[in-house]
Amino acid sequence: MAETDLTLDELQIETIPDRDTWRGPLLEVRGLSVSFPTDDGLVRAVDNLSFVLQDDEVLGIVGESGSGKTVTSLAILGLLPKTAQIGGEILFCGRNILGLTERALTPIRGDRIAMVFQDALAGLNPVMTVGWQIAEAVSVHQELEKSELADRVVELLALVGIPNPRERADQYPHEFSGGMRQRAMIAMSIANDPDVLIADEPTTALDVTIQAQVLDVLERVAEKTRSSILLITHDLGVVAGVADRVMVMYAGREAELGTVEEVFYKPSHPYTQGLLASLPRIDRRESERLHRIVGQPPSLIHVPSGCPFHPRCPEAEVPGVCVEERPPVVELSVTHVSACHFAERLHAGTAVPAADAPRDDEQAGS
Amino acid sequence: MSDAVTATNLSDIPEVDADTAPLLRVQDLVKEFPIEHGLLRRRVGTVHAVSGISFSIARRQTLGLVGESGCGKSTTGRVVLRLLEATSGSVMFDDIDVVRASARELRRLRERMQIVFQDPYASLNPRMTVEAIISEPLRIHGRYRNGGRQRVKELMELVGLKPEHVNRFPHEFSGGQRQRIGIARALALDPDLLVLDEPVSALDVSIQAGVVNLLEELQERLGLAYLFIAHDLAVVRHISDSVAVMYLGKIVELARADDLYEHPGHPYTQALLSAVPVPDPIRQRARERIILPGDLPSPVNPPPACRFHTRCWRKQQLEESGVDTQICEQQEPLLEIHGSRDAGHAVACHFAETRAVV
Repeated sequence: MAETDLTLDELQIETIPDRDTWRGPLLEVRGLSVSFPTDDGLVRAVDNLSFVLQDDEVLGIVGESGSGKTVTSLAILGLLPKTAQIGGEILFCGRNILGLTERALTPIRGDRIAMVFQDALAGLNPVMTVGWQIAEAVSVHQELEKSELADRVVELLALVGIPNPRERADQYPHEFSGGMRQRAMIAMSIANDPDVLIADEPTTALDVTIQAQVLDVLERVAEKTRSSILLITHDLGVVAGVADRVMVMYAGREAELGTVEEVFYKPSHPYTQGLLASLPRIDRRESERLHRIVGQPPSLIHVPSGCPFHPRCPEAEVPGVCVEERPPVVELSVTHVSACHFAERLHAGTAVPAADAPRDDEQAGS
Repeated sequence: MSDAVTATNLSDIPEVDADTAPLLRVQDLVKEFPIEHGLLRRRVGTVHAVSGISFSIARRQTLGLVGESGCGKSTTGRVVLRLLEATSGSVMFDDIDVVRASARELRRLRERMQIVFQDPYASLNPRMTVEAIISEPLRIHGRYRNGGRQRVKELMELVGLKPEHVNRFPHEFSGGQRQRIGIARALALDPDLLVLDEPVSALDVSIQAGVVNLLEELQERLGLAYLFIAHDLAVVRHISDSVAVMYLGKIVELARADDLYEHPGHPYTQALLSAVPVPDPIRQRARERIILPGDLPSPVNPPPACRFHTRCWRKQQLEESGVDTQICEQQEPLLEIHGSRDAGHAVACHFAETRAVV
């Protein structure tokens, strides 16, 4: 094959339709499985996971450490280590991008799919100015005149709410505070108006007032750039405020998926119910003990049989179906699914279980 | 009555009014760190970490100390235990001034006040067995010979660990279990006060509830007082009787927990509470987030008078409606009783006004 010829991988990328002409789901994960061989055995980080990110939406992915949420995002970006054993498909505008070579991925990574990492200090190069780094992110994918590039950098910094952007562009990361660094990271990731923005715990290391600033920026940016956002977090409060839909993950699998209203007011998986009930709340007087989910998160090497949540589940039939069979993904509404053998019963029976739907007297809010 | 007892063992002294007298009284506590430079370690500046704070904790009560990184809350906890020396002020534990206690007094005090750290991975020696970790305070204070082994097993049961795991090492336990080991170690000497420095921040949500519940149960069973230092305002509301909010080394508001969350009076408390997301979509979307401009000023050079004035949204609002707010930049607001709802509700703001934000 001549060198100028495109490889099959590159061809695959070349033919990805434009967002405006593509009518199907923007990003579709189909049966994704990711395992890592270790000395102790195979770690099943993600196990047969499927979901869709629609155009112009914020999808929250919630789970605890080891639930597979970060591995999923790395798989989408093609950033998994070489040792990872990967199965399934990730369709971006209908084309599979899973397992493509670095070279093939380059045109879309950072351009049409971009990522905001958790640790802004590690994500920025300490010996380059912030402006230089943002300019680099732009010029990888666009050819601009020097002055145009400088203007674009300032425009991006202004967009994420950094005061005096022209002066700030010439400063180094250590001259930025934590919140500003995170905003600079966001500026870098939206440099090319991506279709998909993956934000992995974008506010976790930040103080709550700074978190509020960053979430504000993220929401504003999503509106401006029309990016769809995959928001990965362990904070159910952040999801409740920002996301349109939410997927709850447990042991590398989908436990429940629905609109935020469905999942928060009608949780239909015992794990979701337990999580919501175990949260202390700033908006409630409570003198009683918190609800506690018994046991420990599962080992991903020895994942419990059947439903991985069964050893901790108050609803589990043990011995019985929960130990023997992997639960099906039960459809509860057009938008709401739960991977539980008893999903329908839970859905019907516990209209206001752990998390409470708003009561009349407080619905209006403040 | 206690005068009659020769104090050979402090914990043997019968307590007068045990339930009402404060166990811990902190008065005008100041902690500054010098910034040194060069070979001669010339002093070139001062970090004003804690700048004159006062509070007290009664027996069986929990005071939550909240604020963002760098506000001085952890430093406060360490000065209270004299893990750091205070620059000035006093810390009265019962009748003993911790700040000025002699080495001998301090040794006795240490049996009665203990600390639990944030990171259960860093605060347990990986080469020591659980037995060695939990028994260490007993050995140091010469209490191990008399039934120490039994005591360790009791402590493990008390915190919900299996006594048969006594010979295991920290890495064999999960994060939540490690935090329980840290709590067992802190309880070994049967203290009266625990300083809990972000004890559940490193734990996953499903594990956090178990540790919070354990702390509440232990408080009831053992009559402990807690200084609960955390940045998670939801956990603090749940566990605390009273809450103090710190900003740049000062307490800006202090009140009973429910009162503080439902009727906050300081603009900083209001901004802080408004920024905490509530896991309830309809409610959360209806709430107004008060976004503070800028970043936390450096504690090396804190703003004069009211330390919050450079970022105060209320000052800005008042100025826009023509109110003279010069006082904020000229005079330090005192922590004073505010509002009629609760006599114990103190706010340090010249323009304090209650505003529901939760």
